[in-house]
Amino acid sequence: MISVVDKRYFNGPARVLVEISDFRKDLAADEIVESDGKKIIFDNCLEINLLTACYWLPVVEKISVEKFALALISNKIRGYVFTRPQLVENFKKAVLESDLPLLESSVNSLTGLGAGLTPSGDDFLAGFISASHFFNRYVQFDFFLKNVKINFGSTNLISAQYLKYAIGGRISEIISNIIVSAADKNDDLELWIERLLGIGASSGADTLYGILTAMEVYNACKFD
Amino acid sequence: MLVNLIKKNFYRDSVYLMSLSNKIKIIGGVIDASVMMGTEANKKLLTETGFFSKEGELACPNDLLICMSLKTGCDLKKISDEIEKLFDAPSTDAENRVKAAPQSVEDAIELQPNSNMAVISIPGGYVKYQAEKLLKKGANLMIFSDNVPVETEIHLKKIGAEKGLLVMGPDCGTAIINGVPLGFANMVRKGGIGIVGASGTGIQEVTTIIHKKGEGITQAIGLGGRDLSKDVGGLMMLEGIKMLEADSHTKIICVISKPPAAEIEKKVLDFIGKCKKPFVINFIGGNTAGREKSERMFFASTLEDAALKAISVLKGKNYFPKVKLPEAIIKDALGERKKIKKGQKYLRGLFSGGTLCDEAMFILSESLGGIYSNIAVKPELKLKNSRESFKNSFIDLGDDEFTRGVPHPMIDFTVRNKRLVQEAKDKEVAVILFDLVLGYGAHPDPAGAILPALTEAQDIAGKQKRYISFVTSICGTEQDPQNLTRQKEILEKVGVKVLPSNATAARFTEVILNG
Repeated sequence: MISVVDKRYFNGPARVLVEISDFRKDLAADEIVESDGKKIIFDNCLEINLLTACYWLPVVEKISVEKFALALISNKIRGYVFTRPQLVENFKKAVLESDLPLLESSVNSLTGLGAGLTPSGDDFLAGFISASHFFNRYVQFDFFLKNVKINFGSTNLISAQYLKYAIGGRISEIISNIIVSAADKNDDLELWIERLLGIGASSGADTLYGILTAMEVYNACKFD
Repeated sequence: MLVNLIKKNFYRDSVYLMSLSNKIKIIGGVIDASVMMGTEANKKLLTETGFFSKEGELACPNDLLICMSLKTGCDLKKISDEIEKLFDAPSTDAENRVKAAPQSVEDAIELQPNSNMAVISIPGGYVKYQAEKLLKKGANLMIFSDNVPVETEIHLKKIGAEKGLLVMGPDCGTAIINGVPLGFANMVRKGGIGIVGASGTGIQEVTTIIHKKGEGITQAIGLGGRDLSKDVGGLMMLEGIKMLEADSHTKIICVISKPPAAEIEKKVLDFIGKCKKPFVINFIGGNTAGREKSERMFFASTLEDAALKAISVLKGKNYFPKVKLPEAIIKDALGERKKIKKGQKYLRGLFSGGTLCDEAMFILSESLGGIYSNIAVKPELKLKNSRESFKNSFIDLGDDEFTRGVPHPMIDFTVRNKRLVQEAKDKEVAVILFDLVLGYGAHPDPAGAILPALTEAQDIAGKQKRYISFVTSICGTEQDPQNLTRQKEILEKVGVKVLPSNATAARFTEVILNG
């Protein structure tokens, strides 16, 4: 499954960015789409030539800062309320204490939970899982990535696909940039946060909440 | 009545779903609605929130689940039809619009094709490239960025002048264009006075005094501090004047700047001499006596003087009595003088606005016999160490040396508060004069922000049986987000003397110190 979006969006797994911003006007709902690996063809009305495309490969840098400064990210989602905050607390506890049964139950409860095409719980998990790939300095994240099991049937196909990519370490440019900028204390952090918050109705904020939670867990971990 | 509808295999983005939910809520007969994907977790959630009914059980994770609470007796068929129509309706521009912030000038123009004003606030090295692009697209510019090479400023201003476009800045902090405050600026009334100035807080002080006196402005065009230098040659000052001269709403033009280079001053005054509208000119700290060249050109010695003269000319009165402190204010100042102990003799000025600092120094320097400062023009009065005051000292805390790597003191009071407490520890200090700037861009509660430092400073002095007089003026209006009256009340509650203008505050201080 791939998304075709205009160039103002950002690079991410299975995402094709196109130069023309108003390409949607030539497309109808339920259009049949085919691809032979060289082209994407929309019911014969629009073709995207993949041979001239640039390929973006996500780079997952291993982060080794002592602590993340969380004030900016927290301030950016001030007023945001997650659908079920207690579930996130259980999830955090499960990761920090490497508690497998609690991890399974909290991940199951979060999957498919909340508003939006990609439900809030899925976006939260996608943010947390994506960040975890950067943080395997700590055993807690290693434990988490080895043991996180998502029942993809509990959510819709599109959201499930994003979660599969996150688990596989295929991370969107915007999430990667937030984590790296936060680690480097780079001024670009605010810009990338704003971009993420601009996604969907609440998906950006839900994903950022997932990243923030991963950073909180990171800060609470002790390096042996 | 609870009703759950299912739309099978229906995918739309989250913004669409949120919009759909809001549109369903306003259909006649609908009390409340929630639209979610039909996942098990959501079914559980909807059960907990009382939105779920047994029809919803059939929904799968790929289905859209529409849960509604309906008024008793409403027509369900009609509501369902209305919802179907919503599915078929083309999405609106707002839903189509990419919510992410535009990532390029082209994207921004595509989103707002009718915009003709751009604010640039990016690292100085990148300004030329973006500004050229915007000027080509016909946009007027306000360049907030500093650290832009002077060659770039000249280049951009020449392009602007050729195209009849404004290039305000670089390092332009304040402008008000068509009633819209840009950068650090206040909410002021519209009126007949046009302002063009190379001083941010200078513009703020003049516009707010005009507003407080019941008049208003047409435009306040900022220039950036270098426009009247020999190199830039007043390029935008002349363009700004041209625009205000051509503007039928502008009845009088007020020019504000630090004293320009001599040849540039001549160039500007010659240009003004050819204009038809009356002008009030304030070259802050410059010599104004007997300089009126014509009946249309009036010189002002201070920002307050400029604002009052502009109002007088606007009202057709070209007679300007000398500004005198009202008796009540003199009495109040003498009351403060009595509280000060022997040995307390110095004044310390802690400013966030550079021009306000300049203006106060200009007013007081003669009677106090020289004021030391980090921005003193005379080398002998330049503070050796800006972090430590000496005798009568004025500090511009907005100067580069205090703002490298930290926010401007109009936004963050940390540096000024520390300095205020430091000054209070000096047993020879009698008066601490400071400014407080309201408006867009400034701290949301400046009085509240400085309050802890004021009380700490008062405690320090009190424990040593000293009294320090705290004097200020608030550059702002009732319409500013921080509200002038509210800010004034906070300060007066702890004994701060709040005067109506920066110039009056300086004169008030003079009475405290000299009697």
